Amino acid sequence: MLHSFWPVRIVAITALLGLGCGSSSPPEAMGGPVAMRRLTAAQYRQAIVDAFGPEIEIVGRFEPDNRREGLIAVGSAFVAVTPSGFEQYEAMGNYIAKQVVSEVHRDRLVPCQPRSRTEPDAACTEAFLQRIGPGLLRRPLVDGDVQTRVTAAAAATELMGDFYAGLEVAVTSLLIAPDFLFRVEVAEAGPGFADGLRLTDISLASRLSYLLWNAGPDAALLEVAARSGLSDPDSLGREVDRLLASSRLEDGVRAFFEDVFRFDEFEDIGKDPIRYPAYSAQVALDAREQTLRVVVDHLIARKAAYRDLFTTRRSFMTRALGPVYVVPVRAEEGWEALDFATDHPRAGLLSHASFNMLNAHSGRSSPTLRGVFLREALLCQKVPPAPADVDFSLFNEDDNPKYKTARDRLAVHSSNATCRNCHKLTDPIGLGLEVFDGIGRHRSTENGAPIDTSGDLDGRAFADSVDLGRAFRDSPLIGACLVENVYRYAVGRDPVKSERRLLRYLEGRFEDSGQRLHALLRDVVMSDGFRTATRPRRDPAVEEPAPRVAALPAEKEAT
Amino acid sequence: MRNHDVSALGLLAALALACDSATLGGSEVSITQPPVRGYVMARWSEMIPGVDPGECPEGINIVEADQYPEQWATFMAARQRIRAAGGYLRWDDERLPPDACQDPLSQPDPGFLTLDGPATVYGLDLDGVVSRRTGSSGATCAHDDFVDHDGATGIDNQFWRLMGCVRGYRPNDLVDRLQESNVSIKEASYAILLEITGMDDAQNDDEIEVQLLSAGAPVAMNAVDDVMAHVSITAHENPRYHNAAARGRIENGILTTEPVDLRIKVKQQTSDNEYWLRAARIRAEVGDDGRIKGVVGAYWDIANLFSVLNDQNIGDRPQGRNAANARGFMCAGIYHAMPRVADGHPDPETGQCTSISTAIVFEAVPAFVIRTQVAMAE
Repeated sequence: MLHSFWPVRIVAITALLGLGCGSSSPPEAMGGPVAMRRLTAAQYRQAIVDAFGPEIEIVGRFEPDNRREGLIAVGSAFVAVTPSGFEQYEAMGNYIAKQVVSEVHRDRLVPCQPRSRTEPDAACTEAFLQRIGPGLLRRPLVDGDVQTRVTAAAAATELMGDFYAGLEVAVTSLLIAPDFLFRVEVAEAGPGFADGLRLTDISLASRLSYLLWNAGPDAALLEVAARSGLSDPDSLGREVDRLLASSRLEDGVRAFFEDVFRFDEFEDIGKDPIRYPAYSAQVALDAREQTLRVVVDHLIARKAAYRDLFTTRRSFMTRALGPVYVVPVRAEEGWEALDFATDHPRAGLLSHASFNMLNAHSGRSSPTLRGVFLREALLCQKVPPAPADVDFSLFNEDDNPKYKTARDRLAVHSSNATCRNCHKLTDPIGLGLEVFDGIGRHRSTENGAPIDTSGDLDGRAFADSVDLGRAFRDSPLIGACLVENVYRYAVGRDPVKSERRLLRYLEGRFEDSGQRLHALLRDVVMSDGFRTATRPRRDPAVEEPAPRVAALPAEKEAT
Repeated sequence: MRNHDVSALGLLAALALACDSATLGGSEVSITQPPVRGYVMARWSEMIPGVDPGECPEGINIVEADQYPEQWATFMAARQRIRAAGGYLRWDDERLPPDACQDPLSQPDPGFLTLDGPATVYGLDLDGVVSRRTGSSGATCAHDDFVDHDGATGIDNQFWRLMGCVRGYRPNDLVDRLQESNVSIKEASYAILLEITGMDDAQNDDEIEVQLLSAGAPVAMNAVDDVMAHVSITAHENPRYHNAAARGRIENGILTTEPVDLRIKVKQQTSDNEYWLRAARIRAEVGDDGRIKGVVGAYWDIANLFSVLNDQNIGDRPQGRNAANARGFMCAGIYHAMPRVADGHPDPETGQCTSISTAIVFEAVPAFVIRTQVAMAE
């Protein structure tokens, strides 16, 4: 068993050694296969805002996202559009198009007046398409994009006797185009890439922009890409720095952490009102936002070390969230900053209501769910799923007078050999958060019995939830996992074998930077892996995704 | 996502961190008790006592429709016609007698039945003596005291003498049902707040200060329709409703305060007013669950009481007559009855008492009272 996990042990060793030896020069690494990723709901909404402004309403249901290996960013390359989903996209697109060409918005959005309100006007239609098309399709328009839509718009105008009805058809057509609904990446051969391909500048612009802003490239970036400017590392670097310096970086960072933290699951969360009368939909909404605010404030505004997110006393609060945290909130509306006192039992991300309510059941906390989340999302460790025939009856009996605390009940449950192996991974750290109930309110007892939150994280003992945060802060896996997640999120897939050395290099650079997110993002997008791709799989020379358990030569050398 | 070997990593991590082992024990954590404890009222009601046999031997009070049946019949028929046509007939319409709820002297005194016998009620001994109408009433006007549910004597609650024979205030009738459903809290636009300063020990503390004040916002309700605890509520912007702090003490878990005048903002349904409760005292129990339950005993200024009962409006349309009819009294009658039962704050010149002793039962849950800069300066 240990053999199969050998590479990971090496990762840990290199992490513990500080990785300084790998930080000097970037390794050459060819990226994996390109992907065609469906826009997430947030990305779709942002595309509409960028193209038409925030006044345009978006009404409809999006196709459900697909989380794969922990990330929707990876799963989005493995989804299609179902027939009913297409109907939804068409209805949404049509409703958007109606608003865009309506009398309320047309003067602002349509750059020309038609010669006649009742007849086709190809020139005006083309001017309008040229204005909105590149932003929506994330590339310059080609003749086919324009001419087919000008023709369709003219036909609709003839039929309806209304120029703007024709424009509506043209806009709807753009909003259901595969090039809009999917981020289609294209790679090409190029000088210096004999063994693989490089992303086209246009594809690179999208990849870059979606990583840093969670939105398509702006006009400036598209302009640089259109003249092949991103092939030049200096020019690329300037654009990367521009995007990193923009306030829109917050959107990108939020989207990344929402994905890693699985915050899309807030859409389905529900709590027992009898057990948790303080819970409401607003509380859930604010809990989610609170965590994102802390992350953005810490990593972007303060440019602080990622590891310190696990111990920071800095937070933000609303009136709705105040009763969950039992703290006063002066601001009647909106958010206010808050620093928990040093003797307060809240410190770091792990004490946030968001994680603790999300990784819990509707009527009780769950050390196991919390432990699985911490292992998988924050330490990049895989916890096997529970067998289908596990008897949870005792554990669910949380009013059992004999086993008053979750620790008591789990001890009995885990005495079963089938359960023990997984629970020993999850429960010691999950039990460290038992002072937070199913919605993240602090408690010191359960059924009248004091809650013991001591435990150990892979050999590092901790005394309570605050100390658990310190253990996470000190874990060598925290930084390495973030690097891996950022990289996988950026390229939309698992790393291939040749990218392992690149990841080790990026980890070293991240540690050298003091775990600063800006530095990591810049290193990722400037890396070869981000900008290149392997040839299609049908090519015998293609590099398959790395088997997870295979040892790598470079890592063997590191031992 | 990598399939890390947790045990191997744990070993390495433990080795790497061995030098930090002195810090592994962690530290004790506790939530520091704030120097000022805030609460928000979750219940606030004029408690309706149970029925004692023979309490109202002469029956209960009549309403204006009983006193002026022909005019009311004419008015109600017209009102029905006009409503059917989509219109509205005001309660100060000339088909009815003059509106005594707006001008109590516009009608002759129709008389008013009060509860004259003994009864068991909630309340406090506000004047410090067991008063008798035929004997001494201390510094106040002559009245008979009640007995409390816990057996305490000398209970001053002339409000119940006033309202005890009003139909809507009888057990299980309108006001009782409204209070049971807690509308005075749930539908109030302004919550009522309480702060205790200097409470070192919730069981025994000989020096505390207690302040009642109005909030600038309503209570927040939780998922099971109870008042939410631990919310932050901003104090009312008008310092008029930040009452002076009363000195108090806690003995064996029972909190008591010295008298202090209270003005409490009331805005609920058709009422936009304030309570003026004079020489108010609190007797309450500080529970282990953080709640406080008790009684505010006070002298209710009779002019303010008449206004609170009857100055009710929807826009510029007076509703007092409608409300009095629903609750079961006549405004002219109660206006003249109030001085007869008043037992507090005698006028220095005439000796006529100007306030009525009352008792308000309350329950408060922990909250954070937020004061604005203006309020803090005040």
